[in-house]
Amino acid sequence: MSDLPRDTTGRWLRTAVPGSWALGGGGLALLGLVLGRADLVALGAPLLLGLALALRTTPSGRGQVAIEGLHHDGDAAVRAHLTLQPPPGTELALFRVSSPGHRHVDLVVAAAGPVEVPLCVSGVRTGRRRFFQVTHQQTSIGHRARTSSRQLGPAQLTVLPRPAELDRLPLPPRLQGLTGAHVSRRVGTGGDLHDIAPFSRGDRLRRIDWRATLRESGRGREPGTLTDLHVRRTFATADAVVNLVLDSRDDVARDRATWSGYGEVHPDDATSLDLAREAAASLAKAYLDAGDRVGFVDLGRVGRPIRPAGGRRHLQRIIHALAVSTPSGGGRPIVRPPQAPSGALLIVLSTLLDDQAANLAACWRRHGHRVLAVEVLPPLPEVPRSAGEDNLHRLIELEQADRLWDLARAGVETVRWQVTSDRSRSLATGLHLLARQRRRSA
Amino acid sequence: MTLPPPATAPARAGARARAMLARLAVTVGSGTGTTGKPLPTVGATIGRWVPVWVVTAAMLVVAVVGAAFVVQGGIGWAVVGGILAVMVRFPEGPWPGVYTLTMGVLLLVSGAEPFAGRVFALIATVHLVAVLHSVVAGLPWAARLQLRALRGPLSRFAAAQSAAQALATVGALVTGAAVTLPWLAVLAAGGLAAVAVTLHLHLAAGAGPG
Repeated sequence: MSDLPRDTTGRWLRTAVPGSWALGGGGLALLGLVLGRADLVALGAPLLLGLALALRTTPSGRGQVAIEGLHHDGDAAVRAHLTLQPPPGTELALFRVSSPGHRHVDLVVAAAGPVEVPLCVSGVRTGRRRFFQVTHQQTSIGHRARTSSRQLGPAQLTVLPRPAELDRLPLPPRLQGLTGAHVSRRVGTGGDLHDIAPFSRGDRLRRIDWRATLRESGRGREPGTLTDLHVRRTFATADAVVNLVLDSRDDVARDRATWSGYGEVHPDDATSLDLAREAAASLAKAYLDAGDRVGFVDLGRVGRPIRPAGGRRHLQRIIHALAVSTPSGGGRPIVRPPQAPSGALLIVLSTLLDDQAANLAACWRRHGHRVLAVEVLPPLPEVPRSAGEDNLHRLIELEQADRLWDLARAGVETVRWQVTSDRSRSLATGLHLLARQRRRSA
Repeated sequence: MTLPPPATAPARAGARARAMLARLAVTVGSGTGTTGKPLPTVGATIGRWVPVWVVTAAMLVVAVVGAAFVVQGGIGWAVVGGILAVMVRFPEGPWPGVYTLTMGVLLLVSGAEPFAGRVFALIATVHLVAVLHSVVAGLPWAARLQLRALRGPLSRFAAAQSAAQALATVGALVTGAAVTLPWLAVLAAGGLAAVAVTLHLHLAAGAGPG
């Protein structure tokens, strides 16, 4: 998952410290000798003695600097260890550690032996991200020399989205397959009673309902005469096919001022793509845990869809595909909507900042699919805004409201991905309502 | 179910234009963040530490205290203040040496008795200023200086100081015993020669850094 950088220390360069100390100490000693003042000699003596002590050790060679153990600890923090194997004669090491979305920190540590500095940055962002760029420099004993500064990193890490727990989810209008976790409308092997019918070819003997058979046989005949056998027929089970459609063309944060790409997004603010990844991962996990089949399409890379399948490894495949999805600019319009499996539920995760994803959703709906649009635009921060910014935000909200209204008219159900402190309740309200609607209509 | 009519081309173009306008407005809008949250600092664990500016301030305090032993009058303070300002502003120069020389000259000018009590204090402060300056020279003021990193320079300071203070004590005793100055000059010249030989041996043996 990570590509850890490693570097050697720089070349040793002389500093002004020995010359300065020699100037002060030697100058005073000479002055004392010339003027016959022993106290001046004593005043300069410490610098000369310190210089002599510093010159006992000579810095040489090169050391190794590395970032090791880079990992995401699952608690919105990325950790690593900055290690230094210093060259002989090193006394101090200076590190400037920076990371996107964070202010840098300067560290001066003792480096007479191996150094290990635990590093940590917070953040809820996911995807392929860069962490910990280090500028390093070493100083020799007595500061007689200093290495040239060198840069290390940044290290790259793919932070996988964490699925939230979802329980009740909407289903497609038509279930598929001969088995699964959902009750279909077909007669077959299942648990829920469909009806009681006369025994026919293909019925299993253990499905004979003797009570119903006796009740039917007793009508108008002699008691104890068996005529027609009756069986209990049940609804078959089936699985659902769900296609997740990720609109990765936008990656915008709560802070609208960063939409131009020049500002730093606060690491604790999840962007729209982070929310979309989390939503898609949560939905994929919930459906796959229920035994359904899930496919994945990235609108930024429509040429590489993941076909619907089931299982734990498929979930890992989808989560990894989500993590590596990046904004692709969105300059190229999608002329033809990606193919959707027949009878599938299509879940479009988008900011709905433009018409493209909305048009695709409406198009799929016109083709007869059940389409659910999940809006992943982060909510506005509750801070005072200027009149211009207020107008701008109102314009964006009005456009979105228009788009949602158009989607509703087209028959596309919409829900907003809610981020709450309790991750298990994310999106729960909206999806529960949609799941209930499906049941009522079925 | 009646399907809604698809959006007309002008309507789509209008919506697209509005979206572009909105994005453009955001792009040219205020550069400051609207969330108002300051960016966090990269977390690093180095044990107990002090900011470099604290050590720099300590160095300046020590330098001023040392200067107070010998400076008389405003001109002296102006000279010392100038040297300290340059020392802080241009840390890579030979300014600790210049400060030390200045302290020596001011000691001469002050007319103090050789090996008076304040001379012993001056020996310690001048040396401490040089040591602290060598540590903080060129470091960012907000840098975190691990306390353990001060152990090496301070131990060398202690070693050199103990020797220097012992030398000064011997000097005081000797001058108190009315030993003639040429003997002192011979002793000092011997010490200087020893330092010079050490320097020469290190440099001649290719011991130079790099």
